[in-house]
Amino acid sequence: MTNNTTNQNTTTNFFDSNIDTETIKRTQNYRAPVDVYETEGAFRVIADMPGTSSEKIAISVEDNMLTIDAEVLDRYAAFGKLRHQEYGVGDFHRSFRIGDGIDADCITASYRDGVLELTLPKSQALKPRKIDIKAA
Amino acid sequence: MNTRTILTPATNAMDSLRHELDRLYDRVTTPALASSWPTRIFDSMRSHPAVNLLEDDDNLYFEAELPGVEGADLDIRASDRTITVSGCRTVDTPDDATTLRHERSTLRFERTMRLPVDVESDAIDARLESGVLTITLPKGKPARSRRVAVRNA
Repeated sequence: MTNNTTNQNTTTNFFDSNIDTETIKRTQNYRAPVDVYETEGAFRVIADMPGTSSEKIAISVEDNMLTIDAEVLDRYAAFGKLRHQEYGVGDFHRSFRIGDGIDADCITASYRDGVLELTLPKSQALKPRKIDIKAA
Repeated sequence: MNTRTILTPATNAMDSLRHELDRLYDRVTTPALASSWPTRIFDSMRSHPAVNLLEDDDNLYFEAELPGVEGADLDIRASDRTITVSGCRTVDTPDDATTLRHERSTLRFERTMRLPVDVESDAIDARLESGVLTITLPKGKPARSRRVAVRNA
């Protein structure tokens, strides 16, 4: 007797079929939702990317394109069967056009609780400048 | 210089639509969901968080993606046949900041799910790691499969 047959009458349809977890992780990329904020000195990009780790996130700037790629760990390999699925699991990808206004060498990033946070400092050209008036 | 154009997503509205359709397509083409297809789609749009349920011989695993949620913000309640997960996350807008793009939601959520088998509700374990909540629900004794040895007469 397998577990499949232990379902009782009260069980609704969607519990009835089992899928091999090996097929679950998608080869496609998912688009992570982001918030973007601008402050006086920097832009901040905050992205929901659950299920990855800081070592698996690649952030690059090339030809004025900021690209974020996050490899999601194949966390279902250790489990048995998927009984019920409402979301797909796959790697995350987002890219943004950035102008010359960002100091690409000074971008910083942190990853915590499944949320990636980038700080992109503005280059001097974009920062509001305060012009000192010299005393005569 | 107009700073508003600095961070323009390279993806456009069509990409966004394509993404949504991809996720929808996953659901439609998933054999487990095909039989109850139309209602499932609308159910999952209403239900937060979305849940994947996994199983092995001994346990059910209730999994939900909850990026930005901390353990202290979660409330998990279980009985033999149901589990309820509720909580919230707040999206803080930094002080003195202009919002250029807002796709992440401030989330208050509550989800109750009826389980396919009885579980031992006093032995449930919950882990929150990298924004993924995994609740391990040990199956009740009758639900576990047992190998029955046949004795010689």
